[in-house]
Amino acid sequence: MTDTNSKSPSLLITATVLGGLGVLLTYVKAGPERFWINWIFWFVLVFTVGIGSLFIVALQHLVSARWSIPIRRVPERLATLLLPVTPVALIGLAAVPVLFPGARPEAIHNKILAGKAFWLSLPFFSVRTVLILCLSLMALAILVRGSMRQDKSRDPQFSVRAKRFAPLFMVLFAFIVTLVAFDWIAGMVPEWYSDIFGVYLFVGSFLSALASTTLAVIYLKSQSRLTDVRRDHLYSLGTFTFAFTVFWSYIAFAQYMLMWYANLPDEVNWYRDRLHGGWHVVTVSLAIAHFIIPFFALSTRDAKSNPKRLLKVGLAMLGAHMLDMYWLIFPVLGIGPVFSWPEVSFALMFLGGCFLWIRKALTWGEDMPIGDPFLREGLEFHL
Amino acid sequence: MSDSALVGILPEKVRKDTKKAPASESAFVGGLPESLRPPSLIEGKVTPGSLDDQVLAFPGKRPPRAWFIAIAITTTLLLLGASMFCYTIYKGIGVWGNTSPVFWAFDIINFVFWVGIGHAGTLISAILFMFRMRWRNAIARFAEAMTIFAVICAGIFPALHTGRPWLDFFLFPYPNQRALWPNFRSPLLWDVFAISTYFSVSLMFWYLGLVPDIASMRDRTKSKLRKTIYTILAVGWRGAASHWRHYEKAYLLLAGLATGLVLSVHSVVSFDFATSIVPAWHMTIFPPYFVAGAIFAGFAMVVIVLVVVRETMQIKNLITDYHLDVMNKVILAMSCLMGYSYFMEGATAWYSQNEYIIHAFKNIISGTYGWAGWLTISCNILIPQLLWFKKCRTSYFWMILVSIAVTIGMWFERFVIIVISLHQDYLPSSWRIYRPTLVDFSILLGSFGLFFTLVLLFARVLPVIATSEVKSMLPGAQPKRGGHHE
Repeated sequence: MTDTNSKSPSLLITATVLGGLGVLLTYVKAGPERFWINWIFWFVLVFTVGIGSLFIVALQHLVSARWSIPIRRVPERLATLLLPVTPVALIGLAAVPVLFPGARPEAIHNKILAGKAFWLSLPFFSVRTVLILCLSLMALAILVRGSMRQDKSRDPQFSVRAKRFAPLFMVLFAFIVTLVAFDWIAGMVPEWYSDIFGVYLFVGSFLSALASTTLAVIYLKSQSRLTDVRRDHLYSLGTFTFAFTVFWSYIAFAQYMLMWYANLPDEVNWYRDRLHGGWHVVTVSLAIAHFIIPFFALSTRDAKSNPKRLLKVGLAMLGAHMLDMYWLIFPVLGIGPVFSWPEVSFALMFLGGCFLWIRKALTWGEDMPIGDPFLREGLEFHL
Repeated sequence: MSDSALVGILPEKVRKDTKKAPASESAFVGGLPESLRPPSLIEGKVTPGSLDDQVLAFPGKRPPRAWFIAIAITTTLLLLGASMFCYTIYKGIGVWGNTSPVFWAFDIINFVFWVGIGHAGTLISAILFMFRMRWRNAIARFAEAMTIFAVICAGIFPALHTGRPWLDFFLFPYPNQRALWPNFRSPLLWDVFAISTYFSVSLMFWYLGLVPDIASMRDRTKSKLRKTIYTILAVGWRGAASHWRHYEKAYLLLAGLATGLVLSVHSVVSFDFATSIVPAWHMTIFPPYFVAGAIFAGFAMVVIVLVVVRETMQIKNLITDYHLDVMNKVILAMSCLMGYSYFMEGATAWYSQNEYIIHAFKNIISGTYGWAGWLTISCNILIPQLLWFKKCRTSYFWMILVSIAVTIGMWFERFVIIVISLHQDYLPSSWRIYRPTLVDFSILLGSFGLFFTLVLLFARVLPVIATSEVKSMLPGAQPKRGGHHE
């Protein structure tokens, strides 16, 4: 993600501003539906990277991993994306009456929607969104701010607190990701249900955060920072990416296969929408981009620690996650796959904004969590 | 950018950074909080020689009295089960409680239960190996053995469930004069492949790990008969560097294969249910949820057996309190995943607003079998929450209590899934209550008898701990620093 980060921010600022103008124009020219679908896409995309990064941090505390301590600051900094994404989510609540059939008054006449009208209604939807945002920011404060403070204080008590908080975070994380999946994505197709859907978004979130972390580590190394991070560390990141690529495919296949096999009208609409009207191309591309390419690109032992290969796979993985979110969200519009100036404007604005933020975030705290009592052990890690 | 350029020379700023890092974690240990101290995976003074004496000598000794009492009980159960097994073949499966519409009952419950028990071994030997979790080294052998025994127990039930077990070879697809071909679209056939692959890979993995230890036993034993048997089983292992090189490569490859199997086997088992359109069976979360449940039940069984083994075989210095603590943490994590799955299933049933699914889920917590539903939830979700407390994770009483609860709960979970969902189908006039017969119970007890008989025999004739893997954790075994996991 960060490799396109230019030396001077002026290019990024220009891109963001230009994108912003296009975004405003989208609302006027292309209509609110097109505007809000893009808005939700970018909210979900950035949020999954942010919360996934926080998951990586918490996972390390949970299992007392040592190898990853030298790179832990990277996902900690990436997790701060949760801060700018909060107002995006709050503004996005305005999309609910536009794109969420369950929140519209005529939902009462639909038997299925009437039964869960309260759940789908705008007030309760907003309460849940505010709740998950608060929980995410709280977790961010505990895990990331505490870790950055440890740089100076060298207080091992933080490590104790983080280790204690980590299991609780996992519970919160499951809650947060499941709600984002069901509210912000599946909520736009409220008749459809699939209880694996939270797990599906979790894997995507974890993978995109892993890819961002890998890219940021490689970028920092190219800037002669994090020089003590060696191939052994990269290998572990590569292995995780490889393993969870397979896990993503497993979850995606399980959901597809079971719905295809049972062929129930309640469920197959989801896939019918994504296999017709031009969308089948996106569906097949998704399988190739999210499984086949990373699987074969990372199969060998050498590929998992080769920075050049990891750089390419990391970019491809982020692209695949974007495609995944596009595939989940855009078919709601009921038209074929669209990609035109509104999407480009949104990409300019949000990518530009994210890179500006990450540029800044990469200067927060030390490059490594130097207050961690086990940093030395992590630096000495060898396969 | 090339890798050498990346490693490069340390720039001044970074060199300063890493200097700021604590010189070593030992500098902290004085002031390091208790909970951060690296755990001890081996207690007391253990040398490679003393380890061999401790572990490899056991199969040669006369077992303690308790062993004879235990095997007397388990073989009795086994004989009971075997006799009822034969009775079923003689009379037909009408002697079971299965009726319309509950065509699947104890046979499939027991099958899923035992396949699940096997998963802990594969997880410990393959996935934890991949994660470089070194605490697995001491317990991997035993857990792998339990995998194999559990899959043997599991295999009995579908074989008998077909009704005419002498025709079970029909299940295998091969060109034949009968012009019969199995239905490849049926998940029941996928099961045949999944389970047989699982069994073969687990067996190979287990045997491969055993070879160096069998060779050591061959060299140690005085008895001629044992020497002959161990010589054959050791397949010419002399511990040469080339042997180890091949061994390590094969171990890694099999671990990689088995990693996929941990997920695939129980997923395929879950497809037996989830591909159908029976309400409460057709759930997309079934594959990962079955895998989590399998690991959950398997770990509980491993804890129960390991507690007994470490007490009776005096290997508390190798299987330490820390091992039990971590395994209980895994049980707790899996319990939380189960809780998530149960919650998602119930919530999705409501969210679907589909009256059939809602009805099926209401049946789980109310109605004739409501007690089974609540028993499952209590044993699998509520009781394991005790493991949040360190005291419970390290006390025999509490961990055994939780593990037994989990074993009961996971058996009843399959009862809930199978019997409750089937006993009321789409046609209310054919609804019927299922009642198991004595034959059902006897075969279930018999499978426990078989499992524990095999476990007891294994402990008697083969080394229960992989000595070479534990030796790799002894001081000085690693080029840099051994001890704790990275």
